Amino acid sequence: MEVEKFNYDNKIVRDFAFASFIWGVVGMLVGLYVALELIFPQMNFCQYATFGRLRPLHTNAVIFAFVGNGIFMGVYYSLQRLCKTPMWSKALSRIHFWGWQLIILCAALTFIQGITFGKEYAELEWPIKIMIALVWIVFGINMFGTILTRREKHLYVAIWFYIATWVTVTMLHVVNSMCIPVSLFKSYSAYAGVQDALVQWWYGHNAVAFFLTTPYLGMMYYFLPKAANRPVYSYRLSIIHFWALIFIYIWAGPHHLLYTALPDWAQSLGTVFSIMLIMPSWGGMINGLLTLRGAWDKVRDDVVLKFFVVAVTAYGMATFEGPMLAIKSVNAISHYTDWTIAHVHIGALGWNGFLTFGVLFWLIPRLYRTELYSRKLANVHFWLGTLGILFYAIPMYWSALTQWSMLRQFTEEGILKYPNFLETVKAIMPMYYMRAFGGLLYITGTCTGVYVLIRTAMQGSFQAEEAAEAPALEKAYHPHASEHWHRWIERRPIQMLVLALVLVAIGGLAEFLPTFLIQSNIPTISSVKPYTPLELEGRDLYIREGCYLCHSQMVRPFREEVARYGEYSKAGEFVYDHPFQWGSKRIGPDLAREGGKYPDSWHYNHMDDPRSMSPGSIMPSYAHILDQELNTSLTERKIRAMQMLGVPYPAGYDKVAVADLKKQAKEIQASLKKDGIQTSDSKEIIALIAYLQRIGKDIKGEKQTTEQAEIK
Amino acid sequence: MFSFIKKYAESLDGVGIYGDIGLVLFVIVFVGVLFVTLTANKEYIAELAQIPLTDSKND
Repeated sequence: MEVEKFNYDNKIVRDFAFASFIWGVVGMLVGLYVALELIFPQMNFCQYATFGRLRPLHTNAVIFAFVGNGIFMGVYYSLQRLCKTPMWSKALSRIHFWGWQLIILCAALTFIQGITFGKEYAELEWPIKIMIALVWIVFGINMFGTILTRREKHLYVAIWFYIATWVTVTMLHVVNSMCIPVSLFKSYSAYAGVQDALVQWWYGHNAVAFFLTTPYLGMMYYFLPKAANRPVYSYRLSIIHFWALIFIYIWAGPHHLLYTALPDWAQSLGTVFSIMLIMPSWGGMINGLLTLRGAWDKVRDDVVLKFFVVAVTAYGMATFEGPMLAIKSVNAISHYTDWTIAHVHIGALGWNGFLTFGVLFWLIPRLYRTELYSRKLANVHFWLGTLGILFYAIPMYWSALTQWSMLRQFTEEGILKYPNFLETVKAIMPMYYMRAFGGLLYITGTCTGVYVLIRTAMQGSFQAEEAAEAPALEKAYHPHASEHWHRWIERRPIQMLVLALVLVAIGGLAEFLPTFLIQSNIPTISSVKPYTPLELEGRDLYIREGCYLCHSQMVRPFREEVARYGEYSKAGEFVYDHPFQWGSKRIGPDLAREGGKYPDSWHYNHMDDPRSMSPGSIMPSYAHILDQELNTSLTERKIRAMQMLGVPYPAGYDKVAVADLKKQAKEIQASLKKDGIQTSDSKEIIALIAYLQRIGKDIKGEKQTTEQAEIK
Repeated sequence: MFSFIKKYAESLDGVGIYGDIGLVLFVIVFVGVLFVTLTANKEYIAELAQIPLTDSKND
C-alpha cells in the first residue's frame, strides 16, 4: 500500500497546553483566595470580590479553563497520532482555541459583576452559552473530520472516550441551558423547583462524568502506555468498562438530592446506579495501575509516571467515595458539609490536576525537542502537590464530622445543644486554616511545575509540524478470517456516536419524564403563590450575589433540621422557582423558612454588616445593596417571561407590576422607619428584604405535620 | 414550559414502560458487548492494545 507523508499539527497542542497551565494557576489562585475569605471576611473588600461572585470564577476556571484546555491538549495530540492523520482543519483548530479562550474571558468579566444564571457549573448567561455551543460544534466537526479521514482503521479505545465526551456534553449543555432570556445579561431557567433541581444535577454530575472523567480516561489510555512504553493491561476490560460507564453514569445525578423534596423513587435510582458505578470506574483504575505491573521500578525514576500513578489512585479513591456518599445514611451526614468539598478536591486535585501535569511533563519536552529543564523541581512539584491534596482533604473530613455532630446534638431537655449555627462555624475555623494551607501547598507545587515547563520550552526548539508517514487506508475492507464483532462498530465512528447518544439519553429520559409529566410527583400546595414583582426582583439580587453558594434552601426531614429551621421542605413549595435555589453547601445556615423569622430591620442591618447582628459571622458585607438603586426597567419583561413559563400571574399583570412593586416597597420602608432606619424606598435592599421575608412562608398557614420527623 | 406537554400527558399511564425498555436495551447491549469481547481473538486484541505505541517516531 502506498505510504503517504503528512505533518502533525503541534502548534495547536502547544497552544492548548500553555492555556491549560496558565489558567490553572489563575483558577487555583482564585480558589485559594475564596478559601481565605472564609477565614478573613475582610477579604470580601468590595462587591466584585465577594465569595458569592468569586466562587463561580474559581469553579469555572479550574473546570473549563484548566481542565478544558487540558482536554483539548490531550485530544489534539493523541487523536492525530491514533488516526495517523493531521487534524482535519487548521482553521477550525484556531477558531476552537481562540473561541474557547474568549469564552473564559467573558466568564471572568460577567461573574464578577454578578451576571449569572444561578445554577452551579452552568452560571454563564445565555449569550455565552451559545458561544460555547458554537465552539463545541467546531471542535466536534474538527474531531470527526479527523476520525473520518484517518489512516488507521481501528479506533483505539481513547477515541471512543472522546466521542462519548463530545456527544454527551452536547446533550447536557443543550438541555440544562434551556431558558427564557429577559435581557442580554439575564435569563430564567425554563425549569422550576424540583424539575430544575433534577435537570441541574443530571447536568452537574454528568459534567463530572463526561468533562472531568471520560476525556481524561481517554488521555490515560493514550499517555500512560506511552510514558510506560507498554500496552494497556487489558484491552478487553477497556471495551467493557467504557460501555458500562457511559450508560450508568447518567443516572447518578439524583445522589446530589438525597433527602430533599425530590421524589423518593428518583433518589433511589440515583443511589442504586451510583453504587453500580463503582464497577466500571474501578475498571478504569485497575487498567491504569496494572499497566505498570512488573514496571513499578520505572515509577521511581520517572516523574511523569509518579503523577499518573497518584492521579489514577485518586481516581479510584474518589470513585469509591462517591458511591459511598450516594448511600442515604452516609449522605445524611455529608450533605451540605465539607465532606462534599473534600471529595470534589480529591478528584480535581488528584485525578484531573495530576493527570494534566503528568501529560504536560511528558509532552512539553517532546514538543520542544529537549529534556525536561529540571527533573528535581518537577519532583518538588509532585511532592508539594501530593501533600497539598492530603492537607486539603483531611481537614475537610474533620470539619464535616465536627460540624455534623454539633448540628445534630440535643440537650437532655430535648432542645438543640448548639442552636446558633455560628457556633459550628467557629469550631471548624482551624480546619479552614489547614485547608487553605493545603491549597497553598498545591498551588506552590503547580507554580513550580509551570516554571519547569516554561524553562523547558525556553531551552528547546519548538517543532510546529511533525513529519509522519503512514499507508493510506484500503478503500475496500477485507475482513480477517475470524472477525471480532466489535470491529463492526469500531469502523463506524458515526454509528458509535449515535449509539453512545442513545445510551446516555436513556438515563436522563427515564428520570425526567415521570418527574415532569406525572402530577403526583409534585403535589400542588394551594397556599403557594407566585412571587410579587418586588420579591422577584429581590430573588434576582439573591442570585446575583451568589447567596445560594453559602446558604441552602432545603430543610431535610430530620429531627435536628426541623428543630433548627422549621417545617421540612415540600416539593410543591418550589413550583415557581426559576431557577431553583436549594443550594449544595451550608457555609451559613439554611434559609428555607427565613420568611417572618426576623424583622425587616434585622435584615437591613445584617446586610450592611453581618457581624452587627451575628457576632463572629464570616458573611461578607453587602453595604452596596443598601446604596444601589433597584433597577425596575426589566420588571415588566420578567413578569411576562414568568407567565410564558407557566407561572399564573393574571393576564396583563405585567403592566401593573411596577406599580405593585412600588406599593410593597413603601410598606417595607415604613416598617424600617418604625425601627429607626431611614432609607429611600427605591434601594435594592428593599427588594432583597421582601424576598427574604417571603421564603418558605406560604405553607406556614397550612396544618403542620408532626415536628418530630423521622429519618426515612 | 412543560404545561404544553402536561395538558396531554397529565396522567401518563404506564410511562414506566420507557424505563423498562431502556433497561432491556442496556442489558442486551452490555451482555452482548461482554460476550463478544471475552470471546474475541487474542492476537487481535493484542494488536489493538499496541496502537498508541506504534503511532509515531517521537517516542
